[in-house]
Amino acid sequence: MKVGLVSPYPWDVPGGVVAHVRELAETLISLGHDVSVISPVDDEDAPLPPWVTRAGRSVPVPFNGSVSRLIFGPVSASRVRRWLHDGDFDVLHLHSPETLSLSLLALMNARGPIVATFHAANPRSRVLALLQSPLQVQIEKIVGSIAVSPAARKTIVEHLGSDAVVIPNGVHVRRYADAAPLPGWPGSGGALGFVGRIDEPRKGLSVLLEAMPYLWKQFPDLRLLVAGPGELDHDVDERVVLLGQLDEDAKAQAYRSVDVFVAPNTGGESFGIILLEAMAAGTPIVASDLDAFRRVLDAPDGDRAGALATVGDAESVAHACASLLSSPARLEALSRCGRSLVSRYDWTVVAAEIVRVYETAVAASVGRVVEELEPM
Amino acid sequence: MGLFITIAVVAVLLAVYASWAAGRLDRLHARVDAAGAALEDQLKVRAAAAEELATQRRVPAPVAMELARAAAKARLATGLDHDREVIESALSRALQEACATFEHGSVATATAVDASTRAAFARRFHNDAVRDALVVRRRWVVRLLHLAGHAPRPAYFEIADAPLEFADVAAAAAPYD
Repeated sequence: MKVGLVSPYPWDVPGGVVAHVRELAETLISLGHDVSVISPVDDEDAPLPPWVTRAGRSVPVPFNGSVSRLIFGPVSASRVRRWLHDGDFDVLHLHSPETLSLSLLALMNARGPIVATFHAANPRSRVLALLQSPLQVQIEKIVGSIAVSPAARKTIVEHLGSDAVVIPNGVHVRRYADAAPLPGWPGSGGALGFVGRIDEPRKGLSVLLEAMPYLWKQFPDLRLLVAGPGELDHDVDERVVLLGQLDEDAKAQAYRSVDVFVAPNTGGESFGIILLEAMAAGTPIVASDLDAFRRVLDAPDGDRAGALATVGDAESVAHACASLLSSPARLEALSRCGRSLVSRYDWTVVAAEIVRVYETAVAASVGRVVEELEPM
Repeated sequence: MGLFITIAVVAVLLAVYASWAAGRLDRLHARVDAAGAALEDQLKVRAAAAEELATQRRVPAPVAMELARAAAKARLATGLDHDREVIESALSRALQEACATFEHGSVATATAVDASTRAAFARRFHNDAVRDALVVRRRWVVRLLHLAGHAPRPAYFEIADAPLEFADVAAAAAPYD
């Protein structure tokens, strides 16, 4: 199929949605589809794969307590229209069209078999409430909607009065399963791992750092590997190793470099892609007891691919880690359970499901994707 | 004079809005029709896949007979009315009974599982189109000016179509819905 994918956020700024778009595109291409992506790109010199088209730079706008990177304007609009025209797509797949982003701009300029994936689970979105009416006119042009989690589906049911099929995020299982540990890891004293923005409070690194002293009483040489962008405003113990932002391959190696992966998130997670990555790597997990995490970790037969800790409670995190570290049999069992659970999230499985949505959307539409400006 | 101008301006604005809303409603009705046709096609494909599954020797005779009967009924059904909902729900149940005798991922059920998933997608997308059309049809301007014309009122299509489960529950239960 000829597939046009629209990324709402800059290609060269790391983020979950952009990673999803990139990995979906790679998988579709490997399955023999003809894929073109249009995305904002902030750095004009950033190297891009040949299948990515630049839509211009994004503009950071402070909104709702965080910074949204929006893209709008006549230049981007004309680039989107040309991309739609030249692409002659069988299906147009937008990501997060509910944000004021390139995806919405593409939606405003297109008609035909349009599929959209909703990534956010944001129960109190004032933006959506405010924009519901004008957005509705655009949203109703979407032929098939996908939500990445039940929570994301609930959000669009409540805020857009729309519905979606649930297809989860994917993970390249082999990339993680086959990665070699980083040199020198995990080491004889044992190692824990953390992946995520280190200065984003909801990722919970501070909870884990608080848990470490409890653990060092029992495991004095235990190290903590931290992979992720951001700055800390305080010094850390030398047994905490900050590796900064890692590329995809090094990140896969990082998961394989630790005895236990810790996800001490305090909330705001719609899905929990980090858990899938750890499961693919076969790394046992200690995770905050969040709904989104349970959904990923719980096996249908009642088994679980990780231990749960009370949200935001450093002692609980320490306790869960300590009991795992002192039981090799339990580590082995969790690793096995994770590997078996994660196979259904492999990109080849997930992309096949998404292609079924494409084909259903094409069957439920008249004609191909065409560019057409619709009045708001 | 002032009153006349006010009335004229309101009338023009109303006319512009009405023509825009009529166009929007047209597109929504077209979307409902296309989605309904796609759903009907997909239900037919599912019925054919079910008939084939019913011929598998692994399926116990009573289950296979029930499946063949439900599938034959579904294959002959047309339209998306309440009778069809009953027929297709019966087929969903018969498919579930049959799949419960197989392991997840077995080759024999692959076609039926694929067709069932696609039918469930098509139904979700159809109902979504219906909802969008109904929201606009409910507006007072639309009702007052009869902008929906003679287009039939779109109706939801409700059947049981939960993901199929298999004998080995552990690997098969719906992971994310």
